[in-house]
Amino acid sequence: MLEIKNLKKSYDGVTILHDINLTINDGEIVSILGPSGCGKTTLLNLILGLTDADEGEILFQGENVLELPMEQRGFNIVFQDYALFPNLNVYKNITYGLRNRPSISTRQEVEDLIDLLGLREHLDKKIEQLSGGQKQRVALARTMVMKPKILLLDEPLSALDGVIKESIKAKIRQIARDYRLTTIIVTHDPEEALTLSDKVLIVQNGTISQYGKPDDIIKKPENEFVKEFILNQLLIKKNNIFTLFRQGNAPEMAVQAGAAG
Amino acid sequence: MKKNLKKYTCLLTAAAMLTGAALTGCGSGGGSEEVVIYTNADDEAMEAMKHALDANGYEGQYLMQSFGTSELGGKLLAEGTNIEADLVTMSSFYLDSAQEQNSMFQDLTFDAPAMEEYPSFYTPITAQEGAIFVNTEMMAEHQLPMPTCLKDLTNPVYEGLVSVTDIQSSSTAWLLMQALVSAYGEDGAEEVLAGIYKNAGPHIESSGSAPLKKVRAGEVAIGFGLRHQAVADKADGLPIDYIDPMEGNFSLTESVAVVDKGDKSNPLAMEMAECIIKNGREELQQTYPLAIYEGETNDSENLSAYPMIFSEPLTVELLEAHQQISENARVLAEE
Amino acid sequence: MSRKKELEIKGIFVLVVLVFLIFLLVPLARLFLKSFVGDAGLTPDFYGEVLTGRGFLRAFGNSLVISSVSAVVTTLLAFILAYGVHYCNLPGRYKGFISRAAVAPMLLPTITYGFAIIYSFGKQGLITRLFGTQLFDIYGFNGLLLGYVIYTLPVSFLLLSNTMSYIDKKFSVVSRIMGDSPFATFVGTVLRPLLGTLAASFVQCFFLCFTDYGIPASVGGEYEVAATVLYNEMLGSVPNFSRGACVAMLMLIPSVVTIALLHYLEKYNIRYNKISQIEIRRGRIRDTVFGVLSAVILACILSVFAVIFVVPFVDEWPYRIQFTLEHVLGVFADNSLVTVCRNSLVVALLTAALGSLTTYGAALTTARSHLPGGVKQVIENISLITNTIPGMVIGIAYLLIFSGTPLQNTLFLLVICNVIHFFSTPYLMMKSSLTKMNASWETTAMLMGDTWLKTIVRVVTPNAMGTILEVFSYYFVNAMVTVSAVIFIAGARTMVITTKIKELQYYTKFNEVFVLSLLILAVNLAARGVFRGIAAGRQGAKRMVRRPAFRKQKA
Repeated sequence: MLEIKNLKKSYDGVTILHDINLTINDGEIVSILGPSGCGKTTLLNLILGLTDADEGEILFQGENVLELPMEQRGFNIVFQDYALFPNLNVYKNITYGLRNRPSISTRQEVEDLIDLLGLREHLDKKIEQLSGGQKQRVALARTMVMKPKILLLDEPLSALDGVIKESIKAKIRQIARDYRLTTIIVTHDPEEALTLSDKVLIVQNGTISQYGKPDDIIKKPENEFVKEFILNQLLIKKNNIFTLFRQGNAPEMAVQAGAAG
Repeated sequence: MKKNLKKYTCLLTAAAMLTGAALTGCGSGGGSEEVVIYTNADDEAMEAMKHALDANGYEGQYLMQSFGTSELGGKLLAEGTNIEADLVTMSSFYLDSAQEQNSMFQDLTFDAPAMEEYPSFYTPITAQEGAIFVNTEMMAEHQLPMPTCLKDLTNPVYEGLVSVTDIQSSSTAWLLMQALVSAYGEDGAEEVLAGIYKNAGPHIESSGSAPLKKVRAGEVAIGFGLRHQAVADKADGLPIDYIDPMEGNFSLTESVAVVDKGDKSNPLAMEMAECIIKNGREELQQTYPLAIYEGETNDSENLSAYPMIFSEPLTVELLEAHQQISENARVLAEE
Repeated sequence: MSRKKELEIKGIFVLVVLVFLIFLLVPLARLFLKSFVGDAGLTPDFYGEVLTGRGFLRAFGNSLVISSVSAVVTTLLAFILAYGVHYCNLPGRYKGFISRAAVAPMLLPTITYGFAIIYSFGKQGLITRLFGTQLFDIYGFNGLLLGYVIYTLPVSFLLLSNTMSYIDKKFSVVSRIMGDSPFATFVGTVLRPLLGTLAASFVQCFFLCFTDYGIPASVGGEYEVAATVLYNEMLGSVPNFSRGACVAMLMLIPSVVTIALLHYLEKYNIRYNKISQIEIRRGRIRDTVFGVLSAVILACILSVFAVIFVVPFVDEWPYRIQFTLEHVLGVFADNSLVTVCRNSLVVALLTAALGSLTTYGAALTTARSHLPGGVKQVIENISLITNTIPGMVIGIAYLLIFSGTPLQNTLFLLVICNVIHFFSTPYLMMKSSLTKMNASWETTAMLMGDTWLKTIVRVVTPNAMGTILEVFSYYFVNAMVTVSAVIFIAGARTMVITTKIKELQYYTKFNEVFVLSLLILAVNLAARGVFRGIAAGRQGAKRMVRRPAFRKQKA
């Protein structure tokens, strides 16, 4: 269980996060959703340990990790731009961490991950030869080899196109389920957040606007911000899609995409 | 990636090994035993000194390194007795200033019966004269009259075709200045010099050898500089001729001095200084014909027409006074 | 936490600063002191003497004018060449030629530039003879401009070309589609992103010109510059280090102004996340114009050096022009040449190695650490100062500081002097390359269990290797050709080829000077060939990577 208590952060006198309180259960997928500049990336960096907090506590399994340096917390992240190492091929990227901790994953575990993420045929390729979705999966594999206690994903889907997006979503869900891995995702896309996660944390101006299950957020928006900016967006999307279907030119496979995996 | 690293390390190792080789190479030469000689002398003078040393059993026991006058001057003043050299040959008045600032030279322990009086810590190896030289092809091409004296160089027909040295930067110009001051007094010298500067325009050089370079390259027709260099060019078949100015061929000496390194002084240095003076003068006089020591004669075929000696001792103070005349002349020339 | 951690980078920072403290700031401070110390203790009199001396202020003004004009012209020309390479559809080989020819002057000692100009454009010069008339008066402003432009073009081209390769060219397309006029597109998507580099190029060129002594000594004519005054005070017929130090200190004033200016310009630097390679729009007129312009620029510059290939192989230029190998053989018969060449190579290789390490360390602290801005600014300012100090001043300051220490007359001192003297440009190259790398690598690798150092070795360095080799090559080449500082600190046993050239120049043996210059050129070309070969081999090796058998595990 990850508990965040009274977390505060400011830069140069400007407060980015006011008094954040939050609990995430083991194995849950939680999305942090909000507009640009709302403080969601700062929150991610605080959990990861990249940034120091001003006040508050971050408890993981009951132990305060705030004073622990990043690499000792045992969390791991996939950055938005993947941060793959272009001098190494796909396989060497995936097994990068094994050079430091050979025993962290067994050979079989690595092979399983490669198959799970469909990377078998790309192992000898250079990073620049990969598509965006492939890069995302390599980065995921590389991180998973390290067996993180919490997986952090920074805008994992924003650079990907439609169908690939859905398949990556499925992979993320599968990984969280199979490995019973607490997964925290930062996103600015309500559809992504609400369809991918067990819980959604909506952040606005450095405070928690609403935290709950997707269903609760849709049905019981707690404030104007959630209604105006989150639900409204989805409503427009929904109407657009309905319009398309009524005109009868919707390809059938589009309905399938969400379930594809 | 491993491969890249290997290559990178290879480069570094190669570099390191080379240094190792170089450093040990130097060490094994038994470097510290050799007498290091710093000199500003010309090629001919260096050859003469080497011949004298080699013929008298010092071959392989010294290392002679030449520098430009200004660089060696800088080193003497900045380094003092820390200088690498044990023995220095250099323009005499630089040795004077270096001694005054750093007290860095030993008194010479051998007798050298010079005709003039010199300080106890150096004795001259050469006396170098100044002269006018011309590019004969350019003179013909521009149908210029041959100058006979320095004052002739103020003639407007030579405008843009004369090159001289700036006394601020090079002592070669002092030879010109001494001649002018002797002949025309300080005020007269300023006036004549202003006329020369006017003609020289962009060709007032900072290096003593630059006027001859420009005459050789055909950039100018006439220059003033060290006589022996022009003599050598003429002998070499270049279209260069030299003219001894009626105002006189004045001269500056270059001298040898032994650096005082206390206990670490190499005794061979003093021996070599003596050897150069005793055994090198004959060959040196072929290039620099002026007699300096008792018993020498001015009978070389290269002898200048009007050898003269300035009436006052050539001190730094005198040089500074002459520099001021030159600065005034430059202002005058610009008006 | 992250801040507490970066111990290694702090260590590197301290090391780099220490090197510059000992080998740059202490010698400078010594000179500063010297400028105030007279026979009767501290006095500001020397400044008075210098400032009221004939023509000092005019020479200083001249220096500012000619250096600025040269820097503008050079930057413009380098821009045209780099634009031709990066934004035009010129044949690949021609682009390769432009890139190589533009940096060619760097491979020759600057000591030869002045002669080369006189022997090319002078009254009896090669080019004057070809045209039958002297094209322009080479003494004064024109000659200086020509010399400075040739001297600084390689640096400017390197900087501009490097940045252009990192500009996302897609923005040009976007701008055109948005309906911008071609001019607006050019300003918005080429000039503006280049502004920082253009400023850097201007600054680098300005100071190279401002501090150079060799070119004005040859072709300055009546156009007196500050460097000439410096020379006269430091090394004239009555050397006065105190007054010389004053001039040196006054010559530092522009660098102080520049530090402020660059600080201001910093915000114009634009970073791109991603460089998209797109096809360059067709533009026949543009291609022709830039193709021809580049050809003209390079022809002018290379023609100046043609004479170097002619003079040493004829009997006596310009009077007896029959072919002879006498000069070449004469030079190679000199048995001190072997020692001198060996010294040069050792110095160049060590300078390249130590220089690459220093610039890499310095650039790591500024480009890939979270040290506070003020701390990074220290390195930036150091880099600028190294660029603004005349070599002669470094040389003499080293004499004053290191004489009598075990460092005196060692190759090591030559090496460190070169590393410091040439720090600025390679540092800029290295920093710009490191800045452009993904900022998350260190974090990612640390989460994979790497220490910071390990990440640098395993990830950052391999990806920076191209630039590291370029820096290595830059240092090597410059160490081979430099003379201004080295002439003072080389001892009888540590002489290098350029100090040998200086000797020969002193004897007015130009044929030999040119022969040795050609030797240096040959060594530099060979070295660059080797470095390029290594770089290419690296690329090849990268393409060949195979997946090795799975590593043994202690599961």
